[in-house]
Amino acid sequence: MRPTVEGLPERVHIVRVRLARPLAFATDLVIIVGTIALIVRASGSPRTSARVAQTTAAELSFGPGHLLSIEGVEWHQGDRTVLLALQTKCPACNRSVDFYRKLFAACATSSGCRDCLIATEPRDTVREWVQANHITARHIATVARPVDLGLHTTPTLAIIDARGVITDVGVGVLTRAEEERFLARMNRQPGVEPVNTERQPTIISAEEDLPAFVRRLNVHLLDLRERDDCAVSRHSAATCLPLRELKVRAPIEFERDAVLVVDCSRVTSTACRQATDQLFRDGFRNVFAAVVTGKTGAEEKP
Amino acid sequence: MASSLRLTLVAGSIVLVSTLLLTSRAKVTLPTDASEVSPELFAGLATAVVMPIYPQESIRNGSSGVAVALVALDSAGRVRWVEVLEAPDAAIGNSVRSALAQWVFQPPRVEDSNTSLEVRGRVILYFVVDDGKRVVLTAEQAGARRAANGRLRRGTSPSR
Repeated sequence: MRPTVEGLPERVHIVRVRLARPLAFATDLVIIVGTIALIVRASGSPRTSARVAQTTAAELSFGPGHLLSIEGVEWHQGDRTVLLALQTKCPACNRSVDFYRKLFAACATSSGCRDCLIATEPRDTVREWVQANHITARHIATVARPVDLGLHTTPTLAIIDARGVITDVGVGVLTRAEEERFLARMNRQPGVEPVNTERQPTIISAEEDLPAFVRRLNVHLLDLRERDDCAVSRHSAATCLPLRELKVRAPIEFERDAVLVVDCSRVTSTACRQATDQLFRDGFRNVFAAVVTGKTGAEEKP
Repeated sequence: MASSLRLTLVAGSIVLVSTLLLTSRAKVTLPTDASEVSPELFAGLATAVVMPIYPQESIRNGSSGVAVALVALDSAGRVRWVEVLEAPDAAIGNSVRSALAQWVFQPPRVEDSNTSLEVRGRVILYFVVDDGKRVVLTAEQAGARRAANGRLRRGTSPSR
């Protein structure tokens, strides 16, 4: 055998020299194709992105003016409802127990005031916590996904009017002044709270069966998609009114004081905003942007 | 030296091909309905309007409500085709189709230019009861009546 180069047999060395260029070329090709594929994939198709990017409840926050629906809770049974979202193990919830005790007691003695505790935990666990802390909560509801109601933090305290509209919100451990404000609200004369005074679109978080919700509140639920999309799947309670036709048709077909609910869970947040802005410009006063979540089992083919 | 040249070639190829691919994709993925103008703008292009008749059959059946049709124009403003998107019943749909085929439009042009366009637009018509009579109204007429006396409610879509 002849002497070797760099310790390799001559035949191996020749093969390596012959393959060096094709191998380098192949490596370059793989790098180029792979990187291009990654860039193109990351950029995405505009149309596909638009379809996927639908509005979710998590994008919208829980705040005054929002219309709220929780299965089994009838807001109209009182003039106002004190709503407390908590977790029994949450430190901030436990630090505020004294205030909650005072607030719920004030509500219990105030005419037309109802209360409701909501938690993700089982009702019995919450009931035990309530009893241990001597809080006079009369209604306890379990909510599987508080985020669907726009709730991201516990404790969250809110006052809801008879129509289900949030009028006051306090998040976390409240300051003394905030506590006083909530207590003072317990003594306020019952009456209808102004809705949408800032003319901002608001949210419905419908946890209950949607057609029942729409019937009960006598609202018009608008599906802004094109008819083909509406035909494939829409809520039986919804009216298919494509966004392109909204500006012309809404002022003709609805009273100015009608409650119009735009189903934003089916369209992009841009389309949703465009629609609600248009309706406000047209003089509609009760416009809501709905992110319909939870029990929407009534969805059906028309 | 050779390796830096190779690196430059690889990076250059990636940038070039990616740019080409992305720009070509942008053209391809433009919405196919980009030429559809808003209903109010489209209504403004009409120079001669033939209103559809309210079919006797629909009157007998008590059909009323909104009819929406998509109309395509060529660059001379002639109606190329009419597609009824929504109508209270088939007879009204046919009536709308044959009436819209006779509409005359001014040639749609790009603003500040002489370039003519082929465009599409929606025509919205209301088949309603007004003062006890069955009438067909354009969206503009329906809006005006609504503003004047707010009495168009009965004529809205029966499904609502």
